[in-house]
Amino acid sequence: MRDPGNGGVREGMRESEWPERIRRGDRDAFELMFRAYYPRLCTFVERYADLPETAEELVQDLFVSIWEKRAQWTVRGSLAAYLFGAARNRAFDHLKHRRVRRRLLDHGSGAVPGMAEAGPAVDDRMHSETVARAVDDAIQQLPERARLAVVLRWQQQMTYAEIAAVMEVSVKGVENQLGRAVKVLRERLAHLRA
Amino acid sequence: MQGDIDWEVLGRYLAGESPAEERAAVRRRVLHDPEFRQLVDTLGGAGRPAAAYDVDAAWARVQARTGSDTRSPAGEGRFGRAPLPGRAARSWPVLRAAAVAALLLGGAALAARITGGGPPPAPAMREAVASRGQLVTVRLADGSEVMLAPESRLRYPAAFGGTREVHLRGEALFRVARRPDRPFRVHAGAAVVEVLGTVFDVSARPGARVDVAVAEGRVRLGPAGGARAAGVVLARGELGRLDPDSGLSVARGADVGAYIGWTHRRMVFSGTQLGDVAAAIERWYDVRVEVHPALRRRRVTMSIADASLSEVLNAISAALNVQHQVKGGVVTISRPPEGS
Repeated sequence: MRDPGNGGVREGMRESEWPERIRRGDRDAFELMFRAYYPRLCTFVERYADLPETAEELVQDLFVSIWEKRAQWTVRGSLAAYLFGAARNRAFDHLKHRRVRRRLLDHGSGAVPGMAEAGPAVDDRMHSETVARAVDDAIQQLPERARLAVVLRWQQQMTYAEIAAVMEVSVKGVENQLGRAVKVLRERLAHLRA
Repeated sequence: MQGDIDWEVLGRYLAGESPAEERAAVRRRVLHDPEFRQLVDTLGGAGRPAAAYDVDAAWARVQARTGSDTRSPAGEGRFGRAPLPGRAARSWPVLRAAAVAALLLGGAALAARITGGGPPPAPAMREAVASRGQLVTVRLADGSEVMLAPESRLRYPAAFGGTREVHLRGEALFRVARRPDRPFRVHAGAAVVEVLGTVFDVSARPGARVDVAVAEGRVRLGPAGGARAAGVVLARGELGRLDPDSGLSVARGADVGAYIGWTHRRMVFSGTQLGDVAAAIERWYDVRVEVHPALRRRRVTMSIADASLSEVLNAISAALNVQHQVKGGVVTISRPPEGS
């Protein structure tokens, strides 16, 4: 999607070769990997963990750490699964440290901000912005693993197998999390129907 | 929102795995039902405008933080000329410290870090994207509004400095807030459009000419990098065109409505070649359109609002006496059988 304006970087190196080359200290491979994944990982951290201010810093930290520990770096399975998994772990830790566990970790908390105003009591036709807000809130209120599955599947278009690798569960487990997410979203957003 | 939400269909659509017919049905509903569109966009992660990440600046920072190690053969030369040399590498710990403080102090301090401490003085750029079948409206920091046509993107700074500069790929309608002291410029393909008035449409598809239609006010259209004198001033009702081959031209009394019809979900063609019509259909309905080579230069004049794909195709087929077929997300437009 982005312009390939990365002047002079060797093209044609296959993605599957990057980890091995990076392990050997090849900075071209490191740059290719960075440019290929940086925007996607930032978007992912923003949406999954609702961390717009720190997403970039967190993802940069991840790449710096990969380079610093490259000699011991191993990627089992796909590179995408590894990077998204690592970004998720960092975002998760970050939130724990910030003590906003309630938002991320609570399973099905009671209060749903934004939904109160958007409830069935509103007699006007619902305004579009309220729809976006209600949907956004409903996603943020999902249990952490269900939200992770939703973001990877619907916003990053990953396959079940890739998501399973990121979440370190079986494909069946991913299906369960997605099913759970859809069930909750369907209930929480039922009022959107005319 | 009209009707039920089929979450199974929606899930497949968002994951990019719908069969073509099902995808087309969702697209149609997205076009017709603004609230459904809002639902789909937000679930798909497009609800908030996607911040444009400055990958070059980010790479420069990562390089500065990992740059002490130049043992690798590949690290010589290319990386010796890093955009951010030693000075930036030293400044990083300061940035880190500031960031930690910002976390304690809240958002305002964080903003100060970005404007005050960041190594490159480039403003934070954002990017708005309308993919196929989408119309996206962006409100800029100065209050100007930009409506993006399907398959278009706009890069713009989060905050404007002395001038207002944005970059467009695709087509958009600009409604520019009047600020005589701060010029508003649209960089589009090989052209720069400078706003002297208010409402105008810029169309800059890759590899093609740049068209500017003025609905209100005045704009100046000129080649990118050219002197101001190299441009022409366009007034209301005028169509300016910068063609890579023939250069600048102006048509007076142009049908501006034909250029901005898309903002009302109206497809308008006025003597448009079928090849260009096919490209527009691809953008609006997310299908592939194959046109028989002999038909590509046939001209289409029509105006149709809020139409389904089959309605548009039927109208074209009837007007040009051609045939069409839709199969698996591919539209084929061909000549009628002999003798008909």
